[in-house]
Amino acid sequence: MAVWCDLNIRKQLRSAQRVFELDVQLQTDHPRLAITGPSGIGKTMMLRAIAGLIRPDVGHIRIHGRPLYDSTERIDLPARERHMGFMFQNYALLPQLTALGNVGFGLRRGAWGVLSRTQKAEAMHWLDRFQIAHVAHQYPHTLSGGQQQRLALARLAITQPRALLLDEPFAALDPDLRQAMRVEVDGLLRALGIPLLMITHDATDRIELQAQELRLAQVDGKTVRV
Amino acid sequence: MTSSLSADLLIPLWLSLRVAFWATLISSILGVALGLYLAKSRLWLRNLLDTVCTLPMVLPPTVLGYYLLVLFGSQGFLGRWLKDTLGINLIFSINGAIIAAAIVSFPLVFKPARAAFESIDPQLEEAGRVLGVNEAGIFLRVTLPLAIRGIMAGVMLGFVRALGEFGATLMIAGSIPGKTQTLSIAIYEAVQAGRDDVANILALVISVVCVSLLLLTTWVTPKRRQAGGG
Repeated sequence: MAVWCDLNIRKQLRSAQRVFELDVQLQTDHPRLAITGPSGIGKTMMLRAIAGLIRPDVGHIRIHGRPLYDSTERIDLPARERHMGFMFQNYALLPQLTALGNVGFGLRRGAWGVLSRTQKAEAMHWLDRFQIAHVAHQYPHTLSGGQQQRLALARLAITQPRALLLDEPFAALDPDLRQAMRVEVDGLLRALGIPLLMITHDATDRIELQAQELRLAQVDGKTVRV
Repeated sequence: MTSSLSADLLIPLWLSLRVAFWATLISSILGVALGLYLAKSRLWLRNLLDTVCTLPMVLPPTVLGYYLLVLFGSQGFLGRWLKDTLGINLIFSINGAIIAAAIVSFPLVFKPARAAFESIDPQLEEAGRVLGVNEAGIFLRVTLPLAIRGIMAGVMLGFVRALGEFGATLMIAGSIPGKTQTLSIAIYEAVQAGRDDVANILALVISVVCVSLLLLTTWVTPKRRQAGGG
C-alpha cells in the first residue's frame, strides 16, 4: 500500500485548569495502525480530527492523497464528505431505529430516511454478513454487546468507507468475544480493501490484527509521537 | 338552563379552545426553535435570553397584560405599526387573547424543548454525520425523533396553560361575550354576577379538560431508552 495516511496536525485546547496541546505528524504506508498511549492524551481527539468531528488549529490531513483538511489551503471537508468509517467507543447506535434502520441509515443522506426496496435488501445483506439478520427488527438496547458492535461495523461498512477508524473497539467486550470481533474486523478490512487506524490498550489487538504501533506520549506538556 | 347552555358554556369553551390552539401553535414553533438554539448555542447571551423568555412564568399576569397593552395598544409602537401596515388590531380582539395566551405558554414549551435537545448524546448526531447524512437529515432523523417526547410534553403543558389564561387576556382583550370572553373569564363574570350555577358548570368543565390533558402529558413524557452502549 502506498502512503495512505499523511497528517500533521496541531490542536490546542485551553480550559481554566490546563492547556492541552496535540502535535502529531504521521506519514505511513502501513495498512494497519494501532494508536497507544495513556488515557486523556488525545488519542480520540486525533481520530475525531481525521473523521472531521473536530477541527485542528493548523496542519493537514490527507487520506489516500485526498486532502480532508489543510489550513494553508483552507480546505476543511465536513464529516459527511470524508467517507471515514469512524466507530465510536460506545458505538453510538440510534436508539429510535431498529437494527435494519441503523444499518440503512447512511444509505439515505437527506431529510427523508425511508429506504427503497433495494436499499433494504442491501441493508439485510450486511446484517446477514455480520450474522445479525435475525435481530433486524430489534432495537439496539435489546441487543447484546457483541451484536451491537457487529451492527456498528455493518452500519459503517455499507457506506463503503475509505478507512476504518476504531476507538477502543473491543474494550467493552468479553475476552472470548474479543477474539471473534478481531476476526470480523480483519475480514471486513480484507473485503473492503481499506486501511485501519484504531485506538487500543490491548497488545493482543495489535498482534492479532498485525497492526503497527503508533505511540503517543506527553513531552514538555505536548502530546507527540514517540 | 338548556336555552342558555350554548351562550353560557359552549361559546366560551369553543373560544377558549380556539385561542389555546392558535396560541400553542405559535408558542410551539417559536419555542422549539428557541429551545434548539439555546441547546446548541455556546453564546454567553443564551442564559440571559433564557431568563428573559422565562419571565412570563413568574411575572404577575396583570403586569404581562399591562406590558402588552403598552406595546400593542393604539399608542404603543408595535400596535401602531400593526394597525398601519397590516391592519391588525390586538386590543379587545381574539388576536389579543391569542397573543397573551401564546406568551404565557411560551416558557412552558421552550424549557422542556431545550432540556430535550440538551439531553441528546451529541455522538448520535456525529455518528449520522460520519455516515454521510446532511444537516437536514441529522435534524429530522436523529435530533427531532430523540427530542419529540420531551417537546410534546411541553406543548401539552403549554396548551393547558393557554387554555386557563386569565389575567393578561383580560388586560389586553377584555371580556366581550362571544368575542374575547374565554372560559376562565366567563367564570369570573358569572361569579361577579352571582350566577353560581353557571360558574359551577364552567369550573367543572375546565377542570375536567385540564386534568385530562395533564394525564395525557404524563403519558407521553419521556421513558428514556438507553442510547447505544453495552
